Amino acid sequence: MGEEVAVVELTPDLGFVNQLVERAGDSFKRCYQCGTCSVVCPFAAEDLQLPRKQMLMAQWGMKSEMMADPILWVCTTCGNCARLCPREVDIPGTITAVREAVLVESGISPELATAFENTVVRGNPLGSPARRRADWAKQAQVEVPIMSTLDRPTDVLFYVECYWSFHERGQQAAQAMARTLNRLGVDWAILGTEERCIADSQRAAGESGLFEEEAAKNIATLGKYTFSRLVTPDPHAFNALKNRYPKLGATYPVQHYTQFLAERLSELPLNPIPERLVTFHDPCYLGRHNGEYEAPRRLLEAIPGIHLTEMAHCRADGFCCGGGGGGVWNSGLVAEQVDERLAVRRVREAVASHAEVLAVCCPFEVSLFEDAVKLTGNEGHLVVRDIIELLDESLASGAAQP
Amino acid sequence: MGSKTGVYICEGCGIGQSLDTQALAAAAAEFGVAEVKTGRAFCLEDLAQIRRDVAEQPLDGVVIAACSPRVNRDRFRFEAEGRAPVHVQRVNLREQVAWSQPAGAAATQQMAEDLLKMGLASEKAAKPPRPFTKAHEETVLVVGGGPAGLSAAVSAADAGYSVVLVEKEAELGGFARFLHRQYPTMPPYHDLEPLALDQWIAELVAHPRIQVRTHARLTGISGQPGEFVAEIESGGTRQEVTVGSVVMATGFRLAGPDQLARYGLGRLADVVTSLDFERMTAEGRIRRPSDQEAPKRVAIVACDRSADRDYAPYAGNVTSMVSLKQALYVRAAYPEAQVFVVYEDMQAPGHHELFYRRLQEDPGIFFVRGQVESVEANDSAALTLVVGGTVLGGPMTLAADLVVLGAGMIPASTADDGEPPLSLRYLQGGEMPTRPFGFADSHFLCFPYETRRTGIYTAGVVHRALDLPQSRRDGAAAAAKAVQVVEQAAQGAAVHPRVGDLGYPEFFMQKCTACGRCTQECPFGALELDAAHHPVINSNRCRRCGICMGACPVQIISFPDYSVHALSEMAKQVSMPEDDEEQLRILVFACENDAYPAMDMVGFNHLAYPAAMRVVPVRCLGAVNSITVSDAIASGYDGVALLGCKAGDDYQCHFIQGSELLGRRMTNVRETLDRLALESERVQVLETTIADAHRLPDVLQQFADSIAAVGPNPMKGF
Repeated sequence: MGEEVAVVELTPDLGFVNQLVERAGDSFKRCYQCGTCSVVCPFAAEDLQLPRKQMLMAQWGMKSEMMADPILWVCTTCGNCARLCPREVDIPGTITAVREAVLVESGISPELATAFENTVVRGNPLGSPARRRADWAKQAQVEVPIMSTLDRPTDVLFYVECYWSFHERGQQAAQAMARTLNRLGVDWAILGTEERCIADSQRAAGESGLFEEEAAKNIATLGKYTFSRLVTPDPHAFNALKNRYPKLGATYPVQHYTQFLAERLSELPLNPIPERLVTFHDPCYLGRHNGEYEAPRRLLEAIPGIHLTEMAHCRADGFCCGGGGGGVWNSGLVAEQVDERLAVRRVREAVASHAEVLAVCCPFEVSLFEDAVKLTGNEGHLVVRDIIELLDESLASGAAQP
Repeated sequence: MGSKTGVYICEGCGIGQSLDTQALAAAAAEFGVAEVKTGRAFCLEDLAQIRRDVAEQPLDGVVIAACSPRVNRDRFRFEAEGRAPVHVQRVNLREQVAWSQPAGAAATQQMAEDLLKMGLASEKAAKPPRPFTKAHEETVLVVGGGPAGLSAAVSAADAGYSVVLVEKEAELGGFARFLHRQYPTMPPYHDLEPLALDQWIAELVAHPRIQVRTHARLTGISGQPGEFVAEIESGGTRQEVTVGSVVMATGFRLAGPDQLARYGLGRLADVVTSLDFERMTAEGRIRRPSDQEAPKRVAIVACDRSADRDYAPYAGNVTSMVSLKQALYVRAAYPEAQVFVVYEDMQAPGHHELFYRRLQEDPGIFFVRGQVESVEANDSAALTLVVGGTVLGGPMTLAADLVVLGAGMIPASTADDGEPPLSLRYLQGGEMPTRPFGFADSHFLCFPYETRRTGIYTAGVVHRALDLPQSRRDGAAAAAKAVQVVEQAAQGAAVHPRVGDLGYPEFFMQKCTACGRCTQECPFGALELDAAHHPVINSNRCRRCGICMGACPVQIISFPDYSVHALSEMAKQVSMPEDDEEQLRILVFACENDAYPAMDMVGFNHLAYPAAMRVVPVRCLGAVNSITVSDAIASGYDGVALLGCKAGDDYQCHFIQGSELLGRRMTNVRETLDRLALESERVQVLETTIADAHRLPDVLQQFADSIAAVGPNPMKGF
């Protein structure tokens, strides 16, 4: 009550507007403030006026106001706004452009800075030692070939990415993936310690320079080897390899692991597992950004014992987990700005669907959702599993039988 | 009606399966009619039978008990050479009985018999109309020489009618004279276009059937369609001209300091209206009025604040589009200048969206959605606008050298500190009755161009905010109505909505108490008073709604084929079961414009309504006299429902306030019932629309239940 509100002067800054146009195109100029974006934004319940407010500020080039507003960093670039924008504004692109343009001057949260720094120094945002990148393979129970030691062309170069390489729950998924590839008899290998972060989320968080540096290193590494295709478990890496690398002169056939496996479903000797109701969370960068909604569902539906149910928000209308656009590293800043984290809202939705298992296929999601399950007191009601873990369970249950 | 009536009971469309038509025929025969026939399809192969009987008997009245009177109207029209058209009475056995009542039930048969007898009674009471055919003048008078008036005049003249156009200014063109450019009207909706005003005027001036009076004023209109007398003053002399109809294209007044003071208009020199700005641009000098400097920052305010609801209707999409257009004026004149457009509701309908996008993409035009709360001069010789309500939160300030207000267009429908634009010499007053906000219209959705003065049609901004191409089209459309009314007037026939009706109210003057209520309640001002204070009808102004008939406290007003007497006779035909609490009788007066079609929809959808109900169509609820309702209760009906259109500011009544007037009359009826110790709940006004038809069965059932709860009418049998 009676809070003094600073009067802001509206003065167009054409120079700044032009900087944004150069980075993201001029689609934001066409925003007519209808507010559709702000009601379909996963943060709609928080009434942040995100991203409508940012579009207006972009139109007028209100650099200092944008720098002063931490909401700019809350956006996960999930893209639901852009899907429904009647003026077809590239909203995530514009948000990213604003972040890029103000990053140096405005500074960023310490958490985000740490993630960026770790990426530069250790090649991964988690800050784990680069030399331990392939350590997960030791517990894979199968041989995990490494490109540099293999010394021959392979069919599949499996780009493990950071969370499957270093995060405990990711490593379990990576091991399941290794077993599955071996069962299929795929000719595959990983880069091992040569692999570095693709850094697409760092790019969406405003660090395009870092992304490009990483890309240069990765393109050089990949150039040393011959392979038919790249397969990755990370939708963000998949997005960058598919859509960004070609602009940097490097084009590879690339598939998300669910796409690769869905094509080989008939070769997978899937066995019954205990009956359970499963719901699937669409990763924003696999679904909305790249149009793949079917492959993960085909895999789940093929597993005997799994009954698939959908949450209120699914497919194109999928609800972001909160991890994209740097959100996975910015939980402190986000927590200050919002009442409830997106992963928590999403877990409530999963519980409401009566599912016992929340199936995912993006490396950020497992830890975000597992935390949210604990936070909402749903331990014992809901478990979070990567699709590859469910596949592995089904394949293994057959192996156990004589 | 006359001596010889034929009754035709159709068995088609399921009627035959639902009803015993032979029993109905026997009931009809008791009325002493000339002919009673049943047939499988009187609209198809059996139609020839009716035609033969009409010619050979010959019949002067035909009662067709078949489908709703709303269908097959053309088919059931019988004309014989050298004779007046045969009076046709329809009885609705299909929608209201066969399709909405259980087949073969005794109650269904009883309802059909009652409806048939009601039709026969109505037919018996009807007399042939004597149309008024002495008003022949076909000239169309167009008042106002702006885009709508010019278009109306040329359209009427092209259709072969003489036109007199009256313009108060020395030059034709109206506000269009001051416009620099118009916003795009054709693909790709990208660039401003020149106006074709000179061409429009040249076309008009060259037309052999158009007489133009500029610098002229209309000082009086009296008479009626087909014989209006217009008094035109020009150069100090007054001249009377007889015309058949009038197009009112008097345009608008631009909002000024009275309406826009909050934006500093009139107080700050550098705050100008969109019209001022249009003139500046046309003269090729966009300058600040205060110091004649070229503006570097121009704020265009759409003046569409939702806080100003009383003003907002004048803005609308035209003001939005003008604001966009004027932003381009600035950019064309000063490529370095910046334009700020402040709007609350930008309305760029249809393809104008493309123009709006184009402006948004312009690097020098900035939009902000919000409300200008104040405009003040600042220290640096510029103006500061405080903009509230933006998505950014608290108030914002915006500095500009020049502020252009997208001023709304206030319809010039009424007197503006002077003579009203038409100076009607009508008992009900000199001004054109208007809708809220002064738009001269009777109902812009349902009956566009119609005013509450029959024969006078509105075109252009006087009846809603329109841009140039819309005004041109509007003028042409109003001209079509003006032409239609003179043609109808010559035959003494009504226009919308009872098109072609030849009868008009007749007064049994010996009993007139000279109360004048009919002259006041007529929605169209059709009735004047003579020296003895008795009503005199201008029959071509009459729309045949019957509101006067409903109003008259001594029931002396009747149409040849529609009267208080006829309605009572119909009501008397209904079987009245006595000593039977299960069998109630409810009379439903249903307005033929919305309520009756809604009842038909109930039938189309094979929904049911209570078997106790007997539906009597009326021209308007306003045509129901209170005596008709109290008579019904006195004669034993357990309840009376008056089913009509929505009343109030957003009325749906085709005759403006029929349902409202009835509502007032019913208060009196209820008081009478209370005095007689009868329950006033027995009489209720129920509002409905066609769109509500699916809810109608419930509404009617609830009413029937409420009557059942009250119990049978104690007057029954007396």
